[in-house]
Amino acid sequence: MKRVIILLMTSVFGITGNSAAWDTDQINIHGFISQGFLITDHNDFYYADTRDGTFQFNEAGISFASELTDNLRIGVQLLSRDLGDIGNNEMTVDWAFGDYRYRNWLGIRAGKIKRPFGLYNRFRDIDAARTSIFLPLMVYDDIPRETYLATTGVGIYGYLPGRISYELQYGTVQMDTDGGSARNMEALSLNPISDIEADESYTAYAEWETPLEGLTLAGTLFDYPDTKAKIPLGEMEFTAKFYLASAEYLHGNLSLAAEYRYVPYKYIVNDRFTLRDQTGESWYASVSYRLTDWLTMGTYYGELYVNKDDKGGKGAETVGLPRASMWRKDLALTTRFDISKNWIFKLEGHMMNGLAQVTSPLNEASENWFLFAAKMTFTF
Amino acid sequence: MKNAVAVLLMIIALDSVSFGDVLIIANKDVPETILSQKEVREIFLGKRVQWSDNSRIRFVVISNPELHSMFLKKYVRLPHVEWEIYWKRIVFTGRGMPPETINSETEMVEFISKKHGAVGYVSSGAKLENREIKIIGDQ
Repeated sequence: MKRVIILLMTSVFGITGNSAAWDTDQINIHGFISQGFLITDHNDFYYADTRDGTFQFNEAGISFASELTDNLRIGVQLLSRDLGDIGNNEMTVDWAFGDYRYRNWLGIRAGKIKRPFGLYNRFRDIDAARTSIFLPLMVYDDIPRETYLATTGVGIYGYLPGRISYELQYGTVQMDTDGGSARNMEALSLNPISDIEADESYTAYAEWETPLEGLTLAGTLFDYPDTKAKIPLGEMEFTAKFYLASAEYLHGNLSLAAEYRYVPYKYIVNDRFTLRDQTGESWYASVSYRLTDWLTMGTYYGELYVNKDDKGGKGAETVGLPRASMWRKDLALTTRFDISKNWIFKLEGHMMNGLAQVTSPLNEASENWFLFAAKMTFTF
Repeated sequence: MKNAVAVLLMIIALDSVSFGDVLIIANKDVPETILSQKEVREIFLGKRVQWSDNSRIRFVVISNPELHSMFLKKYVRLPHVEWEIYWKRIVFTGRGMPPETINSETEMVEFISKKHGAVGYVSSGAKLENREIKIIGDQ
């Protein structure tokens, strides 16, 4: 895979390993590298050994982009990431696409394209692009990130009169047996998975800069790909649709945001038996304020419910799980230090209630727990 | 009290003067004759990429931090740090190329005079005798 990527870069950009062969006027090269640390007082989170403290929390990426004509642009970004058992610093293509802009109101992209999903999904890899270390996890779940992150296919986008941006995408998603989406399916269906396959899916996104300066409203529909996986009983199918409503208000150094996520989903076994048919619901509200050029503070609070019609978690008890496995509430406080133009350091604490997305054995887990995160990032 | 009010008014007046110091200039071939603040913002945030004749917009910024911050405050309505973050979001998602940075106002005028579709900004004190450029925003 790495050889294919290197060959691709060489052929597309004419990079030969000899820096003299680079035409830096034609190619834009940017990169970032982050190293973080996670520790919890109780419970392991996100398939990492957070109770003991872990450095298995990092990202590194490098992007190459070039304009071939006035309207045609190509680019690729390579990404390596680790979060506990997920990622393990395997190099992947984060995005790679050609982009033809026909008019202000219409452009076409083909390749692996970042998915618009709420306000912040497209740049969730980019630590330098936000105040907090973790985007609100109730809306931006980091476990199945590879599936949410991008569409491999085609998309159209543009900027319409009335200050409306839109984007439509159709294609496949990344779905691996050892990836985060498969892990989520195992956790929610209570079945081990040995194989997984996903159909094509579409995403629709629109964003409106309202007449009130600084206020942006957005809506997303992500038709999650119909996914089939092998389980001991036969075959299990997962279907879901994600609906997101988003609002952001920027005024000087103040940033406010709120998002709501509504997800009807089903697990069906062998085309007959409905294992689950319910709706997940989550939301958050956040505030961030830049006190000086080098110091920004932020906070957010949010709630996630695995089944909006069973917020108390009674259903969990019927399968021998604690009620708290059906929700998670998160109050986060974060501090960002812009040490220089290229270096950023962040500290963050999360007061948690509930066990959704907790990955240690749930019957031994503590309902109230605390997560501390620190992260250093370099970008160029 | 009167002194305090006078000082406050003076600060506001000085601030207003400095706002008025930023001129939007473009290559003379650009079809637009005037741009509103919102249109300048759309261009420098990479949302609007073509002029009304569908030719490519090439926007450039200046490395002078004072003038650049003044421009951002008046037209783009973003603090400098937020501007940097905005373009990181664009660049690292492949959705655009960052604007080219010009070192001085003299170079800015020269670049815009030679580049079809180019637009940038200078302070009102800059020499604008070049006939290949025109002012299309001076709010």
